[in-house]
Amino acid sequence: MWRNDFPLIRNRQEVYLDSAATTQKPEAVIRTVTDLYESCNANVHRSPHRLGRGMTELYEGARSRLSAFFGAGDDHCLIFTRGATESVNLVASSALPLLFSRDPKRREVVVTAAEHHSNFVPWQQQCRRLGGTLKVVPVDAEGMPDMKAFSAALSGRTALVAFAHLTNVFGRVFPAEEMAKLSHRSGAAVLVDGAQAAGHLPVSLEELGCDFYCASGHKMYGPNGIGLLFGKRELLETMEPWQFGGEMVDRVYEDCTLFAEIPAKFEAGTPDYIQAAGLAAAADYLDHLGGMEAVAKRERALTARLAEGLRERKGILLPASPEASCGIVSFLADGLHPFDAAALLDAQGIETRCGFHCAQPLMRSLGLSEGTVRISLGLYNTEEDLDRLFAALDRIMGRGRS
Amino acid sequence: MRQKTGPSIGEAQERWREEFSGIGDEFDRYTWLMALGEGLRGIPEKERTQDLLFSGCMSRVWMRLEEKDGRLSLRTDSDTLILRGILFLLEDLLDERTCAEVGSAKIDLFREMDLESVFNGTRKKGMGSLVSEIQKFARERGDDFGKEKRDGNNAVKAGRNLQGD
Repeated sequence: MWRNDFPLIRNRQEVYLDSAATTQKPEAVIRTVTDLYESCNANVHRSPHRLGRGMTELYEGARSRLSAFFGAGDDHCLIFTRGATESVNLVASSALPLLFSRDPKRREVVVTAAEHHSNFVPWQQQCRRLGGTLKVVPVDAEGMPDMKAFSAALSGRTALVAFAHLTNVFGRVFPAEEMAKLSHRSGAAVLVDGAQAAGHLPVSLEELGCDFYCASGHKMYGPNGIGLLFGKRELLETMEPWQFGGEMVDRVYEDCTLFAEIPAKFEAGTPDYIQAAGLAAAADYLDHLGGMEAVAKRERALTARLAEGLRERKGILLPASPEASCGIVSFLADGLHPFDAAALLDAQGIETRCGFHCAQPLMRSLGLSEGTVRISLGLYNTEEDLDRLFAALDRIMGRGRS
Repeated sequence: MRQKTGPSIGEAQERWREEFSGIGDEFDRYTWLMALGEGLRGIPEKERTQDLLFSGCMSRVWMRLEEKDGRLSLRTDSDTLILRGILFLLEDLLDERTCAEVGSAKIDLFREMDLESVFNGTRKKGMGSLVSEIQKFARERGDDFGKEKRDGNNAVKAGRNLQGD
């Protein structure tokens, strides 16, 4: 059973249902990181010694491995970042000025109301700085984008469109290919936020056809502090670097600097090479399980069981259909603030998350003024976990009533 | 106004501490707090203005502090029942006590209550700030009230002098 691969899950009695916040790590990833620190650690690139050359090979090997895992063709180059948040900020800082300057008529950025703050605030703030306009496409009661409004938002003034692949509150899979096609037809660049998708769905960048795709290692069973930004080479080569220093330079003079080529141009400072290798180990582990198709299939079955159990419980309110979700479900317990419900669940060893889930525009647009309780599944969750969740919910809803 | 007699703040804390520690199960501790929370007087919604807000990310707390005749008037509210329970305890300990007593009390009941999800690091700090703000308010008002009383006595003394005592 997959759960046995996860030391933290094995060693605890609690039921962890907060994988959308961060996933637990399989032994293979933990061992890789530890082994590398014990046997291979050395700074990468331009190293004259064997240890450095070995670590460089592992680091660049991780880059290739992860490119293959995400189905990235030659068009895309992988930049390592600290996470999806940094990836989006990089694109907002470097790509947006370029896109604005290429065509002064294109001054609009389109996002949806369902975006995580990390794929909302960078665009909002950069638009403010550069004199751009942020257009927010509404979502319906099921958390899906209004496609009519999405099409209407696109025009010859759109510079870039950014949207989630899988949303973090209701677990909705956006029609990303269609949205990317429509965006490109309007002449806009496309960033897809894969922070949640990477741990739940198979991703093929060649099929998606987007210009930028970002992910966070820690949300796909990899280490914390390492993230991915796939970018079209043509764009990355033309974008100005956004952080400066060692590694990203070719020649430094007193009055000017010649920058390195991509990907180094966007990887200033000593990279997190051990964590990158750890993330590659996570990709290997996921492929060993049968790949993301196998992961998604198992998760669909578990989500169906979760949806059934929540639906049959009186007093559990579902703002959006759990059946349509991909391992991430939000609910409310009638008469209870989500904070109270989550605390009562935690008191029974059920670990969820409550609040706005870094999605305040979404919550506001759906009238969820107190947020929700969110259950998010991981590889290690089982039907027994769900049974314990249901029993805990029954105790909460039945409390004080004999 | 109801005059506060009976146990001191320290004694009241001890009483609550004993009652709380007698509840073994964490779930039951939360439901105990929630039941207390249902008894909180609260602050009417239209009076919950921004200046009364002590907000956190997951839940909100409002607090209104006033001094009346040297005594603290403490009214609080929250949008979550568990926090209303905590606030009920706080009001029970401190409302209508003299500002001097509130300002000088050692309030450690919440530090000792082992409710991890209520009192994570941020929230512990938040509760600590709430209690600090109340005590600071009380100390300042306690000093002012003491000064007024002294000035009043002096005026009476002066008056007597004027009358040729």
